Parts: sequence; C-alpha cells; structure tokens
Amino acid sequence: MGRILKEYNYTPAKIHRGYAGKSLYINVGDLRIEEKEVTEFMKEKFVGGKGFDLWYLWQAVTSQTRWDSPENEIVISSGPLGGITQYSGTGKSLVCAISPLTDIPIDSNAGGYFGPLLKFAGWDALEVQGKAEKDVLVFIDGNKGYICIEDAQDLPEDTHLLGEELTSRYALDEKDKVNISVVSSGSAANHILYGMLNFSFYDPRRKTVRYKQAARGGLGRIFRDKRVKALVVKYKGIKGDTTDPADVAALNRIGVKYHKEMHDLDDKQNAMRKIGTANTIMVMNKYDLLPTRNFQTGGDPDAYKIAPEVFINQYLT
Amino acid sequence: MKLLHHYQEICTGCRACEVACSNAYFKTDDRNKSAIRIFNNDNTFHAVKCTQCGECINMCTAHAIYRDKNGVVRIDKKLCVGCLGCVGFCSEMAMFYSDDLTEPFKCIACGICVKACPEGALEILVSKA
Repeated sequence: MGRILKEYNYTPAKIHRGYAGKSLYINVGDLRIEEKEVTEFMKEKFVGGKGFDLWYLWQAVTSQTRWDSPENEIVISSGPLGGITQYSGTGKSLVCAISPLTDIPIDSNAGGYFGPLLKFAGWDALEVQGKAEKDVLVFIDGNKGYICIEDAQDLPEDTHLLGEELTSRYALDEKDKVNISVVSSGSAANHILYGMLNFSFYDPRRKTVRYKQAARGGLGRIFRDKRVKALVVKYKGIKGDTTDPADVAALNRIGVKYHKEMHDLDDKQNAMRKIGTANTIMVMNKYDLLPTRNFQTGGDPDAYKIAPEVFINQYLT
Repeated sequence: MKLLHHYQEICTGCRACEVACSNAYFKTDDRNKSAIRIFNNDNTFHAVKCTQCGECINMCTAHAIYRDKNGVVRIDKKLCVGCLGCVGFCSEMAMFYSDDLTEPFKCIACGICVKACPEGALEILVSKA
C-alpha cells in the first residue's frame, strides 16, 4: 500500500428516501476532505445525478476555468434513484466536468457499482478538485466511515491491472469483492484529450473485475491531469430497501413486472441480455446511423461482418 | 434430486399445504408467504411450486442462487441484494416475494407440506439425477 497522505473519519449518513443528505468534497491538490449538506433546494431544483453534478460544477468554476485548471471538477453522482436493486439500470453514475474536447461542461455516464456504493457510503455526490503533484488514489470505506488519500505512484496505470489489484487489495475475501468499485482511466489518457473513465464492478460468476465506461467528453484526460489514478469505494450490505423507498410495495411490483417483460420479450426483441447494444448494428446501418470511416459515413456494405449474429455465433460463450 | 410433486387428481384444494409452509418459514398463516400456491381451475387444483429447474441460478447477477447437494435450488440470503430478477425470470412463476422480506423465497422440497396434506396429494420425489 502507498503512503497515506490524508485520513478522514466520518459517520455514514442513513439513507432517507433515496438521499444520503450529504456530499463529499475532495481536493487532491491541498488534500482537503470536506462534507457538504445536500439541501432541499438542490433536491427540488437539481434533482438527479447530472443535476447535482452541474450544481457543484457551477459553484467550483469561473468564466476563466479551462479543462486543466485546478478548480475544474470531476463530479460523480447517482441521483435519488441510484441503487434501487429492483430496477436494472439504476447503477448508473453521472459525471460532469469542463471538457478538454469542447471547453464547456459535458456530462457522461457509466454503469458499474460506483455511484450506488458511493451513496450507500453516505455521499450523494463526490467532487474531485485540485491537482495532485504525484499520482494519488482516494479510498472510501462506507461501512467504517473512513476516507483516505494515498500515494499511488507504485500502482499500475492501466485499468485492466489497476481494477484487479485494488479490488483484491480492499476485499477481505472473494465474496467481499462485489462490494468494491474502482474508477480509473489509463495511460492513454495521459496523452489524448478523449480519454475516458472506467467504472468497475466485480462479476462473481466470471470471477473477474468488469468495467463500464463514462466515455464522453474526455473525463479520463482531466482525471489523469489531476494525477488521480483511482477512486475506490467500498460498501457492504445492499438490499432492495437500502435506498429507503417511500413505497417498497410499488417498487417491488413494478420491478417484478419489468423483469418478467425482459424474460418474456427480450429474446424476441432486442436480445439485450445476449448481445447488449450491439443488437442495433444492422438497424443503424440500414438507417444511415452507423458511424463508419470516422463518422464520415453512416453505414458500410461490409457491416454484415459485425452483425449481432457474428458476435453470438463466433464470440459469445 | 429432491422435488415436490403434486397429484392434481387427488388434491381437494384445502390449502393445508399453504398454511403449513407459511407457518413453518414465516410463523404466519398467510398464503402470500407460502412457497406452494394452489389455484383452482374449474375445480381442478393446480399447484405452483418450484420445479428445481435452475433457470434462476443463471440469471442471478449476485450469484446468490445455487443448487445444493440434494439438487435443490437454494438462495443465499447473505449474497442476495433483493433485485427480484429471479421472480420475474421464473418460467414457473414459482419464485415468490413479499414486501415484508428483503429476499425472495421458494420451495426447497423440505416436505412439511407433504405431512400437512390430508389427502396425500403431495410427495417428495427423490431421483439420482
């Protein structure tokens, strides 16, 4: 483990109606860790992960702020619906920052477990501001109420190595790995403006760490410019009522209906469970929407070679 | 493999099995907490209960459902996150949930209902497969 640069202990907030009621501010430059209250005003006016992200980003920056200014912030939030286990898709984390590609605020989002685990750890949003001198990682333990900023110079840089290493490091055993999520970028993001962020989750069936991408806007470039190597959150104890919903019966009823529809219809419709969004390839090709030749054309006569059936028959096991 | 079998032609629809099941596992006389449910189709009684097919094992992303050494499909409550995906994905509609509980429940072929059935319409079948 790297040298601990800063530690912070807190009492994890109890979730009430989808909100922890607090957000976390971390400055990796001057090693400040602070708590902020999530106000009723924020919930009313800026509801949702992206809303909270933009609210905090607006407070953080000025009209002079560029993507590589220290005050540019990467803000991550899952919103009040994040972490409802009955609805697949509520694992999303929304991310905002000022983009190196467009020089204006952008948003991107990813699956993985980070957003919900962050909330259950007591934080509705995480702001990462400042620039570290050397590579650092941030670790949040939502059960113990402990946060630290660590020197991360000795850690691998690329996600496929980093995610595995950090998941193993912070898990007590194999079963504990599902309780950990890592946000990381990779060495390419040191050089290219469109570097992205990877959000991990542990797949106990494949016994490996998998990743979802917040790919838009060059968030990974900002992450690496801040010399952040990884953000890690850990929380154990998720159930269907951890978000403290107002009406768990309605949530269960609609959740089951939703799963039943997927079970009955998905194979006949989009086959999302088999092939994911690759099911759209031939439709996009037909309607001139398939980005080809670096977006110069919207389709290609050879598109059939990457049709969903090719993946299903030749690559999926 | 252990499997609960229901003899439709013998069943009178008294629902003693539902009462026995919910009492045994949830200490309540509530058919919504029974892992066997009897339905009346024109005076023919049809039982919904787990066939131990294991379709739910594959769909559980939390890896909380497994087959035990008797071939019975079981839920590890510690690993279950209560998504209820298995409830929606059960082709037999035999994975049940209750809003009072944080995990779903199912028939584990324990045989309590077999003893409770006054007509002998239920039996635990044991096969080697």
